[in-house]
Amino acid sequence: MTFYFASWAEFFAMGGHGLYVWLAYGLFWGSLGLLTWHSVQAPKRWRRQQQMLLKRQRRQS
Amino acid sequence: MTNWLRRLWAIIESTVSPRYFYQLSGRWLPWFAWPAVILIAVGLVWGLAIAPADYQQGNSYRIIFIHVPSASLAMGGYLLLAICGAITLIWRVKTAEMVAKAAAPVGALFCLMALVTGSLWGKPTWGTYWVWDARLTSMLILLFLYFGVMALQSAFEDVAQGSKAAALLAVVGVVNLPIIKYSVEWWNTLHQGSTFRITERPSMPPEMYLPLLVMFLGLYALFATLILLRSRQEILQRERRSQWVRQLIEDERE
Repeated sequence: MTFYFASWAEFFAMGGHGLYVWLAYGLFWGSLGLLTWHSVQAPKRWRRQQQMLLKRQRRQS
Repeated sequence: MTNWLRRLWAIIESTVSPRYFYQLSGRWLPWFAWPAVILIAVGLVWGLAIAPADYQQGNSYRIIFIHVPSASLAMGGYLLLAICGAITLIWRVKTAEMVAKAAAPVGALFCLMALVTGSLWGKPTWGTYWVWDARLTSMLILLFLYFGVMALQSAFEDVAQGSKAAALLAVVGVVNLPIIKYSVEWWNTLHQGSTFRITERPSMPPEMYLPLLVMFLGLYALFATLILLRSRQEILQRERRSQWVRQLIEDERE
């Protein structure tokens, strides 16, 4: 369980394949992060809207 | 006998009712969400920084830790769509329609990501981003099947009708799954064979397959978390006129 690379610079370089590795990881976790964020936020936003609707209905009646 | 069967059916039906599923899934959520966070964090550090480089591919092979689970989830997600589709068509269980609606975009994203990460892995390894070989092409077809299912789900004014059309496509499209799975054996492809096999020892050393296994479990847990979260929202939206959803929103005001 030790750090495989000799330095951080080598870690980021990924033996010359840094572009491919980091682009793959960036796109993957970026898009998954967005989807997760949206999946968590959408119910909250929807509930707020429903409650506003409920309030408006109450005021009218 | 028929009476007994009818009672059993009533129990099953109440278990899979959207209302009960909503309550049940709320209790399940943390049991998937927390393992997902922990396993993914461990898998990321292990796969990127601790696992040794491959003697042939160098460090580009580290893409495997996200590529293989993505591809597996893309296929698993489609299988889930097909199972939900079959349940929708045969037993008309509403919850199955809702889970399918929630799962389609998640599976589609994993399918897209399997293609993207594979392409970025292919360039340094094969020298090309894309080849029209059997594995890659059948995976692209899976992505289009996902798009087809998603389009049908929202193509009709009547939500239930759209769900039924999408369910039919999902069930028919399932023939693509064995084609993807065996494409590397049936045809002479550039893509390598499977890394994990249930019946055999893994073809990688443990320093490499253990982090892959951790990431696998972590991403499956994340997939389950996303499906549950989105299913719950889908249930609330579609059942918004029912008494229990109104009550739920009312109770939350305080």
